[in-house]
Amino acid sequence: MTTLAVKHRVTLASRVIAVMRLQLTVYPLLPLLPILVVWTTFVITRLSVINVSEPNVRVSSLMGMYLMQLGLAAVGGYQSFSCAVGLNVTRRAFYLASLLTGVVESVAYGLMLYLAGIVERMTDGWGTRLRFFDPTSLTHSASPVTILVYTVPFLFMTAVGLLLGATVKRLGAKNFILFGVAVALVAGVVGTLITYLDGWGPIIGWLARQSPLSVVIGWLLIPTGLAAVGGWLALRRAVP
Amino acid sequence: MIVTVKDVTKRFGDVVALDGVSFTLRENTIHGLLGRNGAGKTTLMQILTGQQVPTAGTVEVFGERPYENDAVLVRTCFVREAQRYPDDYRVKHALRAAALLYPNWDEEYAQSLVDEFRLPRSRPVKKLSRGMLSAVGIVVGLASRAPLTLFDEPYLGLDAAARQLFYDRLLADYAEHPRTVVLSTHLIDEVADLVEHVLVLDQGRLVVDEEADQLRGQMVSVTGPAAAVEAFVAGRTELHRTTVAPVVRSTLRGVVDVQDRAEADRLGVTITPLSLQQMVVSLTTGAARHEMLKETSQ
Repeated sequence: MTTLAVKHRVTLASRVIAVMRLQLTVYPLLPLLPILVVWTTFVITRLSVINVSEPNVRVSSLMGMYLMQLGLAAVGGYQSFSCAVGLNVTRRAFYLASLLTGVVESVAYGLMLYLAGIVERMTDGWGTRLRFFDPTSLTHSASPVTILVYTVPFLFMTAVGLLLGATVKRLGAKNFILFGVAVALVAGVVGTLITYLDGWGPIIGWLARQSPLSVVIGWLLIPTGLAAVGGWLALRRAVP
Repeated sequence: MIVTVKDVTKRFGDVVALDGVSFTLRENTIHGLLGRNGAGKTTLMQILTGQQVPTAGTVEVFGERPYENDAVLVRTCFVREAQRYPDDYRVKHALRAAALLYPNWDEEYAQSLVDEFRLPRSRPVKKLSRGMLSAVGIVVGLASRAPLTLFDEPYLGLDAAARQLFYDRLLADYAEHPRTVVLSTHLIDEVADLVEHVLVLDQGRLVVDEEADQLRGQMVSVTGPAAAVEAFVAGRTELHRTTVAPVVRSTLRGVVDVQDRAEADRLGVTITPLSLQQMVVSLTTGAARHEMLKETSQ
């Protein structure tokens, strides 16, 4: 008879990787879903503008991809938490795995959109002057910084999605709704106070002085970081 | 010691789920964690596996705090009655998830258990019957080969044959791969021969922490005519008495020796050792419970 011992050394990194694999257990192709949706939309859009001489700039489909990332992060985080922590994973390993998965997906999506934007410009909008993947002045550049323009909003959506999923898990669905109402009330009071103190002018003025690039790839990282920290604070005492 | 719990209290608002619980768990032993509904068994196991944090007191598992401790939790498998899986998980996905997370996972053994419990590998977990869901937990608990394995009511919905299969496989695998097992159950008589150490919780307090063999001899029931039972009971600790005239049945605490048996023969009363289940029922209800609680509070 020999006493059981764990066969190999277990580190936080090995647990994080195990959880990342766990999250892909059922649907290993799930991260490809936003890509599939955006390309399907692109094909439909491309076909619909074949005979249009002056197509409109379209941004809604890319926004759909960002919203899908938010939804997948929220639902994925919410659903797999009970399973993973119930199978004796630490909350820390679970959350790091979720964040890391989100970062990898965001970079991959950003890179794909960047490359698609380059092809779009090279082909004069896919032969129809369509601006689908390169819809704004911020994205209208071949500079590698443009990758960040696409990627950082994905990171933001990932962090907000994880925050929402973690808050639902921590509070329960019913309390989450009450919490949402409370947050909306606080936001309303703050907005009213800013209006009362004539604060909107300086805020909008400050924003106007920032370059769009610094807002998208710089300032957006602050709420992204806050959401990521908030998600962890919500999850660290959640019970599976 | 694999587990050391010192003066642990857990409160949920006004409810005291655990109240100053202290005990240790020995390595490579099957422990029975017994008690009535709401006694605090699940909460205790959640604390041992870092899923809950005690309000007061300390818990050490493998010499360390279990909360958010990868080194501890990777050696621990907690089979919960209410283990949840994502909506689209099938049985095979649940097993794959366990295989990813338990370093000692034995896939071949897991598959043999799946066959023995007749689990449909491709059926969604949410469409499994209660018994099948319990069987999934049992497969995970046994095949994980975790040095500390906790089963929380693992038999719910299982028929008698499947429960016996679980006990048989647990014993066989434990003999081959010794580990520390904590088995929380209501079916005490079924596991009486399985458990080596008994912990009984009652309303959050630990009222029994004994080797199963020692515990078995500590309570007896004495049955006979009222006068004879009365004479035998005199000077002993009586925990409980029922009368179905003209017969009286009295539950006594304390070891019965040869002289006692001789006296019983002389008086014409019958001494019967209490089963583990009868003892637990006796200790968690009525006069015995009050006596136990008095003792544990001293």
